[in-house]
Amino acid sequence: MKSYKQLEQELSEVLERVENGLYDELDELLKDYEKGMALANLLEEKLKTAKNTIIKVKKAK
Amino acid sequence: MNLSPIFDVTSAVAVLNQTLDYAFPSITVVGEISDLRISKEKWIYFDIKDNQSKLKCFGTVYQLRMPLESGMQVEIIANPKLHNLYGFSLNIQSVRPVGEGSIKKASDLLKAKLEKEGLFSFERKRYIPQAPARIGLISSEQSAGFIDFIKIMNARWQGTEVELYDVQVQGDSAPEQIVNAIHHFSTQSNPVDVLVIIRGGGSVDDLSAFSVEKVVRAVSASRVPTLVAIGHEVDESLSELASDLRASTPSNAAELLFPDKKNVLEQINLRKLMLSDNVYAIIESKSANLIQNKLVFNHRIEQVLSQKQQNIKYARSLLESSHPKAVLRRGYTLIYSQGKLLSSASQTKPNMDIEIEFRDAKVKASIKKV
Repeated sequence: MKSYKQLEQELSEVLERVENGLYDELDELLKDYEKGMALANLLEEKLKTAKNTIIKVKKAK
Repeated sequence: MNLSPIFDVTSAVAVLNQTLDYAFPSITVVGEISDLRISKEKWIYFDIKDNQSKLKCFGTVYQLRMPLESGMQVEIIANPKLHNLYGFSLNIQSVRPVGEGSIKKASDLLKAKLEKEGLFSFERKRYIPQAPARIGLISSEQSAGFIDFIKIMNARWQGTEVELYDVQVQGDSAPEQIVNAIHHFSTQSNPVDVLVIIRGGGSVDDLSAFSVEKVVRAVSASRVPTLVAIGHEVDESLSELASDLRASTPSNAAELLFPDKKNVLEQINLRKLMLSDNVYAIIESKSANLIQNKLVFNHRIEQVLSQKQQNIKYARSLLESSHPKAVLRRGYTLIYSQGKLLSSASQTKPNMDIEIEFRDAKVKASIKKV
């Protein structure tokens, strides 16, 4: 499962491609649009549902 | 009659040392340092004194938590010892400055020393990633600083795994525990993203563990980037100076490390809008290009067709103008003999019957003379 950081990085890459707008094929653009939207939704979902966890690794004596 | 035992000097020293070992294997003495001397950068000698008395002390520089100076108030833990040549002294186990002035003085001395070594230099600072997936946390689980940090983290961000190494954050054993904890996180096969070291407010003495030389060096040598917050905003420990990033308080450490998820959610929505706008703009641009190309194409086709029509018209006119009968309209005539067009006088002879074609009719005639 991809981490929040990885998903955010992927979204940034998609946005950069779309901002540059260098698409020969319209299909590629639409594919990136769908991917970007899916990534953004996934990031939202993660932020809303994830929990912080605390693991006690050691107690010094 | 004297009933006291009689010893030679060596035996007397041995007996007195045995007695001291038995009665006071270790004593704690508080006083002011005077006549401090360091020999060969290894051995340390000084007197510890108060208004009325002084005692000789001996130890190694490795036992010092931080640099010492004459005039500083210290607390030493030592073994009382009677040396066979040099007399009575306290063999130091540990020594630490006490009282704000002395702690500050010792801290200033250590700060100058470590600064000279470059431990606090800006060039050493590493990037601290925001919203890390995993962090190592060195703190006391019971401390207010820990509670504040977790509270702010939970309010701002979700999805982080915190590995807590619970240590004492003040007292004699604190420095060793903190160093061990830093070592633990530095030697993990899968290291955490950031190492956070926090402690809430307290007196100068309470916070002094974080200015102990071995702790400061451990922070500086940490394999994992460090974020350190000790005490309140006005407090400044040497560990904070050696860290990659200093926060003013544990709460501030959480604020620096974790973005507010409300803002992040807004940013995600903004990025979605940007994505849609950009895609729409590209499609608009492609569509405009298509229309433009279509116009250019149509125009070109019209040009080609017009050219062709011109060519045809020209050819037709050329053909028409070169048609033999075209000359009739200009007033010329065509002469035939037996149905064949005569193009030269040499084809004629006297009395030859000919046919003359005018623009409007043909007439028959005969040649009189050639």
